[in-house]
Amino acid sequence: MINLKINGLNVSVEKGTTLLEASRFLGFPIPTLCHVDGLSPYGACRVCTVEIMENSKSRLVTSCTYPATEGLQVRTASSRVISARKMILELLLASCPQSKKIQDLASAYGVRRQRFRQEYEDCILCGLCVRMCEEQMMAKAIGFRGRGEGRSIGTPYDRKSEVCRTCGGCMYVCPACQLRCTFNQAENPICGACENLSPPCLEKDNYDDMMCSMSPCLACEIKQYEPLKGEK
Amino acid sequence: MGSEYTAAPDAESGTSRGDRADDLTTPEEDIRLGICSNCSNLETCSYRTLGQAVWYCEEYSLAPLPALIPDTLLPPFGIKRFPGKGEAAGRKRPELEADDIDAILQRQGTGTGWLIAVLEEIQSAAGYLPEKALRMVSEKTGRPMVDLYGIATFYRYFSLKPRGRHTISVCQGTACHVRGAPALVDEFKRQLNVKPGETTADGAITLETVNCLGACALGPIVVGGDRYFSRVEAIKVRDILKKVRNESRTKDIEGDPRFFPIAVRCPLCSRSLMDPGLLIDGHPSVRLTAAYGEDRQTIRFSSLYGSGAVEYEREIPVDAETVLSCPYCAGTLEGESSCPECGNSMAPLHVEGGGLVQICTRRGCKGHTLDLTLDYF
Ligand code: SF4
Ligand code: FES
Ligand code: FES
Repeated sequence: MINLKINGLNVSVEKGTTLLEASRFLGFPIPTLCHVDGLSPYGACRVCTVEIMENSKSRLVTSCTYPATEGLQVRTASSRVISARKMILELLLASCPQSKKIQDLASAYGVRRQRFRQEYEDCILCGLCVRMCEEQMMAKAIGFRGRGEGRSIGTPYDRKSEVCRTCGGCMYVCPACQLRCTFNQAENPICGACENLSPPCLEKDNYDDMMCSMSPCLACEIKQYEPLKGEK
Repeated sequence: MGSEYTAAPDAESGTSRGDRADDLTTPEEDIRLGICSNCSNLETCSYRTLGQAVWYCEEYSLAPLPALIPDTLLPPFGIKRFPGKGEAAGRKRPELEADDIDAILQRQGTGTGWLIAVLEEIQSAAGYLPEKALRMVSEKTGRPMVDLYGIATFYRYFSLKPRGRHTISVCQGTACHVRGAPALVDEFKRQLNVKPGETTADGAITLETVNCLGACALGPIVVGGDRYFSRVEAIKVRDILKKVRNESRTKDIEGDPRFFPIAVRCPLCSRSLMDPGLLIDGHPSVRLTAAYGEDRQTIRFSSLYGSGAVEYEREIPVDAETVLSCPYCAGTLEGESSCPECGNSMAPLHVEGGGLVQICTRRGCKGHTLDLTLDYF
């Protein structure tokens, strides 16, 4: 067993447990995009960032890939972590403004502005679909192609794969596939939490033909996170 | 096996071969006779009777070339070694068949790191990674196609499309970028009429951009064929293309039996004048010292007989007569004969394996003679 401290609480975990699992075990929420139980950790999206203390220096690591080590001190919601997460979410939002999952997370973390040019990509290269296809479906129909800017996900030669059984697992896990609610400003990726309605949610019916991401209602969550900043 | 070696169709050879059909029973026996220099067929060898020295005669054109004979001594009989790894052989690359893939897999094994080695070998044999070959590798090894495709697209070295005989890489790294590399790419694009990553219609040149070649101080850098060009400006683009296309000519004459490489020694001190460190026409150059007036400099000749390519360190006026000497013993190379083209004096050099080659000492004159009747072994 390995003993470590998460947000000041002592916890013993088995060898090989990741910080994410240990924190979740204690009930500390850590957001994830590229982590799904049952698939190998990959560490692509970085939103699960936490702060660890190592040789009296603190450092940000991705909790989904970082194994618990003896005596490690972890903070899952320090101001440094929150601001790093906000920045990551803002960047993710810029690359995939249409994703409901990213928008939900961004609004939950109080991302209130978008300073980067929107790219309208439809993939954040989290690799979930690739791992799903390989590890759970045993198919290996899709994979990463190219490198750097030109990196993409797909089948060889962009042709229908012979090994694909059209199971749809890749779409199921994809954090970018589900489209977000666009409210009445399709261009703005920031969740308005329906314009921070006051009183909240009452006018929601006005938009009932649109897909709203406020389930569970995010407007409340925004309020929850606001005091976090002052908390320090 | 035999089809791997190309024998140039030669009208004369037909007769000599026919005459001697009775003497030689099987091709295997031919091979056993050894190479001509110590061939036991002295009486009937038509080359000997011509008073010509040969290292390897036509009779053996279909036999595998003994490794004994260095490439540089292959005579102009149209005999070519099978294009080996890395050699830009001919225009026609062999199609890779299942057997070839098997052989490659056998050679590279399937231990760690085999995949890249296999792809590398396929690429050097075919010039690119044909889909068919990738599928065969995937089938034979059980490695999923996505993995192969992922690797093939990840590394810049691999190409899924056939490539030109030459690659022009224009650096787009930061240092080169600020010095105007983007304008260079535009110029190359305009002159070649292709986009980066594409190959010209004649299959000669592939245009590419790269991200830093490690020579930032000399930027913008362009690599054309095997050469680096530094501080390139748009105005030099035409020149670079010409040089690269010229190299293309070199590659073409490589298969031409009228051009063949020789190795030479200083006739005075017998030291080899070959400089493998600097290739001209793809072969080690011949290094000599040239004096013109007060100026002495190293010059290098192409060792391809018939090519006539020369590289100077400093300009020498065209038509000026130079004095050539050996860079080792400093002895002046003087001969009695005069150039068949311009009548100037010629410098003699000994050909490795026997013979004498003479080159004209006048700048710009490509006159040279080869006499293989002398000093035969
Ligand atoms: S398609 Fe979806 S699951 Fe696959 S890498 Fe992109 S974002 Fe991740
Ligand atoms: S969930 Fe850990 S990096 Fe994406
Ligand atoms: S940037 Fe061009 S060589 Fe480095």
